[in-house]
Amino acid sequence: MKTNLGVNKKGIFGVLLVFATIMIIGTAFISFNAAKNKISSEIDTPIRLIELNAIKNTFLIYSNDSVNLASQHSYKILFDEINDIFPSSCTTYLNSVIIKDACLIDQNKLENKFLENFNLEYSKLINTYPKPMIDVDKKNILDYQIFPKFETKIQDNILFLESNGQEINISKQTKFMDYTYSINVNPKNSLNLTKEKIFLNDLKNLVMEINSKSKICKIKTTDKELLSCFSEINSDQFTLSPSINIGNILIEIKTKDKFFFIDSSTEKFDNLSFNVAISKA
Amino acid sequence: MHKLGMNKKGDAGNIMEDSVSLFIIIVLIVCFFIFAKFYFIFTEKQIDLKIEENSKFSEIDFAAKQIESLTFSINHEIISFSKLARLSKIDSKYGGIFESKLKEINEGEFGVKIKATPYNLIYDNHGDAAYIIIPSSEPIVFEVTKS
Repeated sequence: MKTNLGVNKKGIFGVLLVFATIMIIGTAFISFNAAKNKISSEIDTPIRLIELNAIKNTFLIYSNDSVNLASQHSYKILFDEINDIFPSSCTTYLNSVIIKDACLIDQNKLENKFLENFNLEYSKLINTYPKPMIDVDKKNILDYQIFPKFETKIQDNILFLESNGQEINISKQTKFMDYTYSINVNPKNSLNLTKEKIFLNDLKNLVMEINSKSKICKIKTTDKELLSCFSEINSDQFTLSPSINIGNILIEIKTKDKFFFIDSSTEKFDNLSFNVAISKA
Repeated sequence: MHKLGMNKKGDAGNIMEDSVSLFIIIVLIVCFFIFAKFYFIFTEKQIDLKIEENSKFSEIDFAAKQIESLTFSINHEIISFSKLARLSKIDSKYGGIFESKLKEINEGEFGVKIKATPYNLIYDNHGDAAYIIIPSSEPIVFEVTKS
């Protein structure tokens, strides 16, 4: 009798346990489903779609404008680090490259340097997009990440952004669920650098012209004649200011247009310039 | 002595049974959490949020896009809204011009009001307003609301 009662007790306990398990899993399944559908319907409502669409539009405008601004920042960096786009064998005078036949701007280096700067500056701007803008939930600031996916190239002074779109991943973590919303934004895929007053080809041609002119100007005997000779070089985009400095000629090349750039963490809007040198000998 | 020993043996059996039950319950709870987690992983939903570009779902958002694409002629130069906003932060001369342009927008045809906004205010009323964010060293944010 004792043994049968023991078996019965165990049996009842087992059956109850199975029932409890089924009940718990069933209730969980129903409540999880309800929670999930609630979130889905919240996102499906027109107001949510409007909000998400507004986020997309705002970011798209920001992203397109960032392309223009990044190109200007990159131009400034190019001017600051102009010596990098001359052959490494070139010599310098007062930190300015002494131009001669073997020391002219390398077009490939020029474009690659510009693109390298652009990629960096563009990513930087995209990553400074203000975080609180993406708040689908209203109550919480959601964590988000932006993945700028793009490749760049320059052809005929047009900057091409080959992009699969930029993905904004907005995520929210709850006890059981991790929500991730992905919004794909396609920024503009090209920028005419000429319209932005960025003249990469002209920069190279100007340095070549200075080099050619230097051969004529060097035979001038007086400093005045020499400076006047270099002043004859005309450019629509740049102004040239030659000066004589202990046996060498320094020429400041300055843009006629102004550009936005960051200097010591401060945004400025000014002309850009760099110097090249010519050996008088 | 003998009876006591038997009782001890019985107690030990009960404790063992209780431990097994407790173990099963703990396993069930752990399984429950794992089940909950995996349920949401395997039933992941993807909601297509594509909306027609020309959709007039949100008039404010539409107006914000229009305003952002505005250009102004200043000293014979065509300047975009973004550029003027950036310049107004750098140069006080442009600051005055930009303020007057904002006034024109607020009194004009768009039916919206636009004002500069610090970021931390944005998420308080999202949905009732659209935003224009100008890329800059410090992004400039404008809030567009119905006037």
